Amino acid sequence: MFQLNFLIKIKTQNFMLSKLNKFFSSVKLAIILFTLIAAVSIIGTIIDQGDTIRQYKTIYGDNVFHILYWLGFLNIYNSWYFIGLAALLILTLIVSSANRTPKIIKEIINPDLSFDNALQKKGFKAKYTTLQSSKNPEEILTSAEKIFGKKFGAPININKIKDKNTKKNTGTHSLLYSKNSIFRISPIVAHLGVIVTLIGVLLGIILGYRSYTNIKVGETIHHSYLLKNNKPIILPFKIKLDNYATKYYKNGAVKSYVSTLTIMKKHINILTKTITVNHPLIYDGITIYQASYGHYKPTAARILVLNLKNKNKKTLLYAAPGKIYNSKINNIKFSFNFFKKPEKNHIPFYISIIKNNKKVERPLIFQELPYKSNKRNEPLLFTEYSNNIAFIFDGVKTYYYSGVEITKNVDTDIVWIGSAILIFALFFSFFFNQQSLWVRVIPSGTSEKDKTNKIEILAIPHKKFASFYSMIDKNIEEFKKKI
Amino acid sequence: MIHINASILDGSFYFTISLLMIALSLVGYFIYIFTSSKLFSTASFIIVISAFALQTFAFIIRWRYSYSIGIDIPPLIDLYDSLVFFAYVILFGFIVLKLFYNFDSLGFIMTFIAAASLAFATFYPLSTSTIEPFIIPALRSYWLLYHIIALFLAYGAFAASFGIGILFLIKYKQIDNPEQNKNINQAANKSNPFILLYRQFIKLSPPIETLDETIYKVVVFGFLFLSIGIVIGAAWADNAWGGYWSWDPKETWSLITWIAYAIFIHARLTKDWNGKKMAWIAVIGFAVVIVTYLGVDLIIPGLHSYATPGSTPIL
Repeated sequence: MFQLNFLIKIKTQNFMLSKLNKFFSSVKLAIILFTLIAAVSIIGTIIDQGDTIRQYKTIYGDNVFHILYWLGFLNIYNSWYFIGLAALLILTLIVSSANRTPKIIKEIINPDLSFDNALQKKGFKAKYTTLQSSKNPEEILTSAEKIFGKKFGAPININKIKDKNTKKNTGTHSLLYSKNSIFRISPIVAHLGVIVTLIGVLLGIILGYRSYTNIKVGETIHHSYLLKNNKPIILPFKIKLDNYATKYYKNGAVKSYVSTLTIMKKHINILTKTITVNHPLIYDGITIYQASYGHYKPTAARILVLNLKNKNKKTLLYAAPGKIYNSKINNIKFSFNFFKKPEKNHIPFYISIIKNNKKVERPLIFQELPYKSNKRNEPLLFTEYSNNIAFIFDGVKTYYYSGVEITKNVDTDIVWIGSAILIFALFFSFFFNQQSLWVRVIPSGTSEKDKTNKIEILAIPHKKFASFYSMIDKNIEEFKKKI
Repeated sequence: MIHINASILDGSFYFTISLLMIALSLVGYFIYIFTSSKLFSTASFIIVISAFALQTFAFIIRWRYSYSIGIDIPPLIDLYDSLVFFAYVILFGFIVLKLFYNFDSLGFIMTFIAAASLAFATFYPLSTSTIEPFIIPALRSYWLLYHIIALFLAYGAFAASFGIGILFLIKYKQIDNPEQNKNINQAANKSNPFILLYRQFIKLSPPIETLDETIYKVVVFGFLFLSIGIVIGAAWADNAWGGYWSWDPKETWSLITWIAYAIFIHARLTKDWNGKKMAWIAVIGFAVVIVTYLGVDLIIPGLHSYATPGSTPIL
């Protein structure tokens, strides 16, 4: 009794498994999954991904934001349902490949040469024609070989078939042509390519990372921030930004963004290299890309202090707003300030002079000079105090930074190998199609009176192409004339 | 004021002339549909071939010019370049199809798409033929050429499959519904010009089985090149941006396009899906292609947006 129960259990399990198997290897499921993935992806392109919460709230308002957040629409490519759909698709891919591969390989290595079997399962693609002829079978087959051989090449295993058939059914002669049967493997190889690519992608996600950080000119960093969640990650080496420069074309458009980086390990400079867009630095399995640039909010003005009595004497000071600096000329101190209510089209900042610890009432207003600064290509601003001392405003002190993407690309080679397999397999599966053709001659009954032989022609293309059928029709017409 | 891109210097003049030629052949194919006179279809085809030759010449002029002003990559960067190249690929596809199959009736649709693309390039205000003597840093790469050529071969093939799909659906309707056909025949006696046109059109287009086969072959060609283009793009992105896939809108839409045609190819394996469904997928697939090609740039900004005036430069 127990045994019986156990057997039933196994049987139902097997039944369930085969049902599941069938479900996961169906083309229809693949199509449904494809459609769903496409639909989810479309949502991801309509709603901006990866913005900040504040940005979303401004665009959609609080309520809609919460709904979108709950639905996972704001980070849709990492949502459970998108990953779930992708996982299901991969499962379908693996199950269907596993189901079909052994059968197809078996058919390629050891094809079923029987005409009857082929006729039985000919399916919707096959073309079956019967003819009659009074010529003798050998002659019929010779002319068939002449005509069909032009398109199909040499017939396969004709002796083997003859032997087989002569054993069973004396007098029946057949010819079998099979062209490009080896290429039946290519759809499987294409699917294998996709699987390999996806394995590479998965390994990359698990073992690698993509991160981003800004490095100030002169600064050395030891960590970066992951793109997916902004969490810091410690790098296996330090990176120093030696210099950053934006290079321009003559008309002012940007030609390139150039960062000079030094890789350091334990205070030892290992290498220095410049990176630009399209030309990253690769070291120790980690790639550093030029991704962005900018400058921090300026904190001080560049003020050139000139001694007008002694023109050779000039000092450059970085003046933070409101702070008092010594000009070292006649004990005059000054500060750089902004107007509280600047007038329109006026320069919004000024210099106040502090003499003997007392603020001089009148602020020094800047005037534009007809010269331009070398660096900024903007007019210099000038002001003076009692023919003694002059201040030139030469822009603001800015700290440039270079935004770099630091990526550990693990197993991208696997992705490229998979893609290459996919593309080659697509090429072969699309342009080399299997075609098979049987010609069988069944001699008439043993009676001498009835001398007509029955000729059967079964043509099976791999794909339902009109050109194949018309080619077969043409050849059959030709064949008819010969017999 | 309408701005027309027609400068001899940068080659756009020749493209504009080719637009006129293609428009002429479109008229020729239109008349052919009415009259089924071989004269018109042959003349139109000769004009199409000459327009194609002229465009080849124009590309050479344009490339030489861009090289002379210091751009060391081919002129395939901005919206104008891309639309012109699209028309070029479509004409190329049509010529190849016409040589393999006798596809005169397709000429009407293909020249229409090519003319529309060229007209858009010539008259759309944001599409300018001027080649600026600078290019944004991200595009300074030789991956660009192969990426774009592969993808435009794919786009061209999908456009062709769209055209053939339309022919298929028109023809299928007539075969599928003999009752309606009867009505049409009766109406034709009253010499309704539209019905006459319709019947003529059906008479001239190849048999439905040939259309079905051609759609498949053309889609498969496009699918192969779409895959190649996406992989090249991923390799380039890996080289330039720090990752082969960033879910940029254009990337995502190219994946959606790939999925649409993957559905097409798989659907053929399902026995109960007939040619009509396949033709519909080919037609809808092309709509997806158009969104990927133009919609994404004009509606959703991203890393791939064309360098149109006023757009922010991409690093």
